[in-house]
Amino acid sequence: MSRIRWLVVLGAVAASALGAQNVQNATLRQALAAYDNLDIPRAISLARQALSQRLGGDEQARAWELLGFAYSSSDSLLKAVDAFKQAILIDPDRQLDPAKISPKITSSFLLALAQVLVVRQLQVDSAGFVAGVGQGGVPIRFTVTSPARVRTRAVSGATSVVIDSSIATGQVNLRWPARLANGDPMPSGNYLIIVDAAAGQNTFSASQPVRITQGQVDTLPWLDKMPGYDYLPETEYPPQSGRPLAQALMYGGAAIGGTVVLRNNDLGSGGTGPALAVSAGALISGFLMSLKKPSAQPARANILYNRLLRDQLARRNADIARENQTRRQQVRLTVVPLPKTGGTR
Amino acid sequence: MSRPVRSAAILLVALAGSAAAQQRFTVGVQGVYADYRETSASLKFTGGGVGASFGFALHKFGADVSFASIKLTPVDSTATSGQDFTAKVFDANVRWRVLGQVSGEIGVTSRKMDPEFAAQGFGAVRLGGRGVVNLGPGADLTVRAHYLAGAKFSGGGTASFPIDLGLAFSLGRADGRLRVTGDYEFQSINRKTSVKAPVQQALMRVGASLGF
Repeated sequence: MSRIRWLVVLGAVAASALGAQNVQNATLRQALAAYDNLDIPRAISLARQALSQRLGGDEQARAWELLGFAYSSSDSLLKAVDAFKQAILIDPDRQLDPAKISPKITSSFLLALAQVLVVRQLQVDSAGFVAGVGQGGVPIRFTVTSPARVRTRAVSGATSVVIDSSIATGQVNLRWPARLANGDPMPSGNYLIIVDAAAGQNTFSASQPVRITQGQVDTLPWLDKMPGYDYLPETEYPPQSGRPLAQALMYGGAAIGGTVVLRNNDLGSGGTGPALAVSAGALISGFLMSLKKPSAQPARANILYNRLLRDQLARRNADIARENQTRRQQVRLTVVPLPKTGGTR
Repeated sequence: MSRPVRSAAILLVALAGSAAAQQRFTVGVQGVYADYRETSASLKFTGGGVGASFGFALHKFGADVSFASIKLTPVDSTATSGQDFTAKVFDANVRWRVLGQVSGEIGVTSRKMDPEFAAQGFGAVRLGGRGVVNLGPGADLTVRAHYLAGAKFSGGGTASFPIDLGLAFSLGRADGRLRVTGDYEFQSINRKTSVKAPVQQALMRVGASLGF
């Protein structure tokens, strides 16, 4: 099989990959079938015939693309490039799969791309962020096929906000903070992100509708404890001891001893009965207290620790209060791309 | 009402309210036992009676008043000069906590006899101090010592260095509302007239107190 024949087979495979099933126009269907059958002259003739008829935008793009394929297969490169240019102008996002399409056809397509000014594959990603805080923004990407002044805008009714304006070619990545010229966040509503490319007399526009929704920023919850830190008990029970009994013994003994030492010998001995009786009462008290669980004592270190913890907590909550006050004045923007309803020219 | 007077009234009410929250009153009744001796070993009396006490504390300040009536009888019934008599003992003290649980104290003590000359009546000013030892929740020990200044006797005479010592305990509720109390007081007075005529009294009070 000759080289040209292989090229035609590959092109036919690509055309069948595009599919003729959804094509409404009968002439175009026949053109696609002719191309599938490797009847290139007939495919070109029928495609041209179909283009002279009333076709929808998608079918027009298919017809031009089929012509591009057919001309490439018949080595009419200039005609192929022209046909692809028409297809690209009608449907700028049209892509060829390099894995399925022959390099010759792909190069014709790329050549056509370089010769037209279009904005392709305009994509706006979903995003949620707090307006005016940090690096939050809406990612916008598109490809400009040749050097041009590119102006990107967000439009809704009378509102038009310039997102970016620069000379660009190739892949362009933008991050739009979704703010008005005065710095306020964009009001809720449906917007059209429009990319205008202009180079001399050539202009092209692509658009993507998006919905912007304003919402409240989540506030931080109050802390009732410091994470990872627990309050310590402010009282502690000292270990049980015989100290009360020893104290009672010591002071009772001192009372009896004092009585014995101070009593006047001229007045006779004895007289220590009351001292003994009260000392015995004191001893009983001391004994009972030695058996009893000691009373709780303030734990100074723990009290100081808890005080520090409370101070820290109060400071943290004051910070949270300030942060929440700021957040209540902020707006959370949610941007969602909507399905396209046309929008290229 | 003028403004200064109104301000003063508000201040007084505020102070009174604050003080009321911290003040403490105690009222106690006791059974009393006494051992009283004077002049010589043959003049020894013992007996019992009843007593009452009232105490007040506010911050560092404290005061107490106690009274006891004791019927004393001679131990040696053969002693010619010994006869039954009733001693009415009165004590009043005020104190100020100076360091921890240690207080400086000043007060008066008085002992009157009925019949009047059955034994030596006595009066003096107390100068001394007391310390409170907390044994645990609901139990306290109190030790005290006083110099009895300006001692006066119904029979005349002087005393060179009269002193008294005391030991008391209280046991009961931790909040102090109800306590069993015991109190020991020992007075040693080296009285002199033309001759030595010492006086010595050991007094024990056991009873209960109510705090509020």
